[in-house]
Amino acid sequence: MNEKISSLFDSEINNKEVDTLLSKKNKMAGVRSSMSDYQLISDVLKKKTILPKNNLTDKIMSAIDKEPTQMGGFVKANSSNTAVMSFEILPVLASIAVLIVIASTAFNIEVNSASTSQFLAKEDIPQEIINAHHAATANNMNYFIQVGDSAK
Amino acid sequence: MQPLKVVYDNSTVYNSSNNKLDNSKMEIKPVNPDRALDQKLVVKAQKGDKQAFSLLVEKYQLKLYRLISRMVRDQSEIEDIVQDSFIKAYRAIGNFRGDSAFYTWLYRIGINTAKNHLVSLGKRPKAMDANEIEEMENYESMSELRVSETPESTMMSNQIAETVNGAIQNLPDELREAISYREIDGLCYEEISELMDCPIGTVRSRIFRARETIAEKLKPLIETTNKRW
Repeated sequence: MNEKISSLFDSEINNKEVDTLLSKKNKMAGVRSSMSDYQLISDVLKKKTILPKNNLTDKIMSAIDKEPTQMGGFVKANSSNTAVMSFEILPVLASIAVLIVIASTAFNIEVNSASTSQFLAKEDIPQEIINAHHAATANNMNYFIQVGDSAK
Repeated sequence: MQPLKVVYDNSTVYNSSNNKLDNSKMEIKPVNPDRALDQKLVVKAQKGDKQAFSLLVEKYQLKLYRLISRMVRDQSEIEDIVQDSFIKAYRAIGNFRGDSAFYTWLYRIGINTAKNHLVSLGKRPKAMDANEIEEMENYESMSELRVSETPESTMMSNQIAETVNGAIQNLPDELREAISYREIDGLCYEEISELMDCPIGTVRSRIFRARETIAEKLKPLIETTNKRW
């Protein structure tokens, strides 16, 4: 475990090891403490000004714990995370597919019922009456304009 | 120091005169492992993993502290600014696309937070030109800490430095060499393994054992400094 922390400090750790470290949530305080010790040693060896070991990370994380969890964000599609992404969106895609099926089924029923009623109506009414109806019905705006003008 | 291992690209490369170049000689910059790890942690944080973000905090809080200390002198003010910067970074982590390195993005947030802090106090932040800002954002190895030091903090620093240096001298040769190559020369594990003629796993183990030995010597001192600093 601690050897992994040392490698993490040097960014010489593979993805699987990062996942293993992060999965041990109850040991994260220990991970951060070790990293802080390694940072102090590193600063001395690099002759940097030493900052006393502080609990700033704990303060920051307790403030962040009060923040709502950040979800989503920009995840670049690369070879390593594309597979993960596709697995994550599968349930969403499945839900959308179900909705589409339900919606299209309902739409088809309505369309079918409407067309059937039109068909039945056409059958019952004689063609000459329909033609007379079309001839007497205003089919453009001129009819209404003329009516408006004659009213003056 | 051994030359860096390079990755060769198989694509055809032309020079400015449109002549085909021998691409087997082309040196492609290797992926920065630091940046790759950060990106991995950022993606995890974007998916709601706060522990991943806590590792980024641990990794960069001191570097950000050093950066802010170039603009603000008071230690408690610096701490507040560092804390605010990380909270802002966390809130905005979903918008981080990874176009720049995470630390560049974080340092930019830190600089802006420090500027706003100074303005809120009625102080005029030091005007910085683009080069200076870029230097600050990219200055990873910033060693100077511009905060007021007390005689006691200076004494503690000296004690810690003496302890670490003493512990290093007492390490077995292979551990001392490994940690020195890593920390002083800044070599990666692969380069150290070539220099020391041993597997990478051995390098990793030696560096870890060196650190643990030094940390063990530091432990009583750190406990004391935490009470007195």
